[in-house]
Amino acid sequence: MEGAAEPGNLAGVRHIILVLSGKGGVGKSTVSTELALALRHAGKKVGILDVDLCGPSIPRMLGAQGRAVHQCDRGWAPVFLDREQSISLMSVGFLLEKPDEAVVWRGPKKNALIKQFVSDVAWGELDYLVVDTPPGTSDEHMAAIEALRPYQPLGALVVTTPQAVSVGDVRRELTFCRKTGLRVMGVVENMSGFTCPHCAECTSVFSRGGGEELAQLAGVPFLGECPELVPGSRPPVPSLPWAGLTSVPPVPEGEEGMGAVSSSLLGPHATLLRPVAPPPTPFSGPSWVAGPGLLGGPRVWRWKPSGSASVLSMATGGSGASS
Amino acid sequence: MEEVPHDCPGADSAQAGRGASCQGCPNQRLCASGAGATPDPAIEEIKEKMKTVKHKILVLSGKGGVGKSTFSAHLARGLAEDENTQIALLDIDICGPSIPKIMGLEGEQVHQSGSGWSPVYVEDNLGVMSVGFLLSSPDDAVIWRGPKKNGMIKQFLRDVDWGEVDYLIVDTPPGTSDEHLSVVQYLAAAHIDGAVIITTPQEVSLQDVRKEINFCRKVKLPIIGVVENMSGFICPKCKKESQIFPPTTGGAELMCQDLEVPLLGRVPLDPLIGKNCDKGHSFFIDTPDSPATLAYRSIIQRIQEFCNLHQSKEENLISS
Repeated sequence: MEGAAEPGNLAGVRHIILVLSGKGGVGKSTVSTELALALRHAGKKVGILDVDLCGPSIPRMLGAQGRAVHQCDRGWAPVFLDREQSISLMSVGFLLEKPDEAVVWRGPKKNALIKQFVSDVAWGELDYLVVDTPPGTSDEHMAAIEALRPYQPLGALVVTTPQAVSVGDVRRELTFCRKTGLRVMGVVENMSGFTCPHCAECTSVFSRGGGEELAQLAGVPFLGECPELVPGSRPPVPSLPWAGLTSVPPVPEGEEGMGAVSSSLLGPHATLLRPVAPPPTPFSGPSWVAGPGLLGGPRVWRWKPSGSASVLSMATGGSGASS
Repeated sequence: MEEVPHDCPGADSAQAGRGASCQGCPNQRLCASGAGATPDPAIEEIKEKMKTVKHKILVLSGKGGVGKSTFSAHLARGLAEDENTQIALLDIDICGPSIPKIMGLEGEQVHQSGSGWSPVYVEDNLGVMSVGFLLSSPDDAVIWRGPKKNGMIKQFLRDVDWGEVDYLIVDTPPGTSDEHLSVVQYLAAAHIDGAVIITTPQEVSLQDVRKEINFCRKVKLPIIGVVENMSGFICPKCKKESQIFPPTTGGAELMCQDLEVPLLGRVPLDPLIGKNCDKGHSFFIDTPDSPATLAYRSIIQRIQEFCNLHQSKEENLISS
């Protein structure tokens, strides 16, 4: 908590976008990567901060595995993908000695590293900092939001796939955003369909329309579908010649989808990215939040008698038996 | 940074509270007192509780969205087809519980009886427990840090009245963090048969799964094997197969060879699996002859064989 309010190393960052999803494997890292590439394509300077400590995917997706983080006089120098230094990355993947090493950490250690990522990385001047997160609504998310809160504007891009099981988890993520006072810039639906390369039939592998419905339900903008599932379109990426990259980045698959998403961030929805007043409810840090309108109150197990047996439900605050 | 020193020796080590890095740590005194080294009494209580549970299987994956919950649900359903086998399915994904929806139990509640929390039953021989049953609305987010999640897992293991159970299947969230450490720790004395690791064929998933395998080795958790999910997609129109998640680095097969773990099988990507999960129906009943059903059945059989072999080995040890 110390020093988090000082402008520090994030002083030169104009916008921060958190990419969130309650569900894993829906394409948070892919969307983060493509959003960053699309923004860069539009001439912006972009940084990607990967706070998925147990499963960092960003280095591989951008062909930067094996690169190392160096210490500079202002802190940790991020990994730059190109000579113009228009895309910079920071991930725990760069700090591991062996790529298969498991980061078996409990919450407090993860929180400490995320704080360090926020305070100690010398990002320099950036138009956008894209923060890629792990699935869920737990330590990493709270730590990132807590550390980034002093820097406005801060907004969240929520990623889902169309099927109900994914939408269910993402609904919870939207509640998380509301509770923590994080503005939702919109919902992106990924893996919307798969076009068979043999007969060109488009199959909705993971059902249809869930993202748009969710956005309507939650009253947040629906930014578009990414027809992600083009087989083999995600190239193996092992050794893209990023070092020799000149002007136009090879925007991978989902280009149109992310182009639309990024232009809606830059274009009509751009107001979403203007600085706003800080959220009304301060985020209370290391506490849990659940139930309507409650931030950090005491949680009790409340008994609701129902017939002969009693029903356990999660209740918050109020009177009742303590746990 | 003030929360944990960078080189924390660990609360249960001999150096706890005495190492150079412990200087200034708020827990220094507590660690030095040796209180951290005493095992949680819950571990013994859980061991007692788990005496009625024959086999315990964890379903793990470093990567999210590869089908852990889908697989756990199918494993449970497949095993429960034998009416004489009692199955318990425990969902410890506290922040993203999917099991209630997949099992068609959304909106159900957990009841309290004299002997603990009663699981929610899908069939007479298939009981389910998930944090999803404790939430009042589908929008409720469980925004908890590690310790609270661990407490919940402890309660699930200690306070749920599973009864006599042949298989306890534990569905986990992605990663190698609090939930995973806790469940392994709490079940340490009760003995876990092993872990089934789920992956998809593409490298981005495999790289996380390799970490998970290393995690299992670090915590000495036996690995039953790896399941490759979403392995190939058969177009419903032309019946030709495509690789949506291409195995650019040899897929699970090569990884299993490299790391010397068994590959239990491959489950093709069938859009009907996802649809059935969304509706909470059993995929086995709706499509008894599909390639995915057959793949699931053969994998389930291999898991059963592993557990039985395990059990007979143990009985031999005890009798000898």
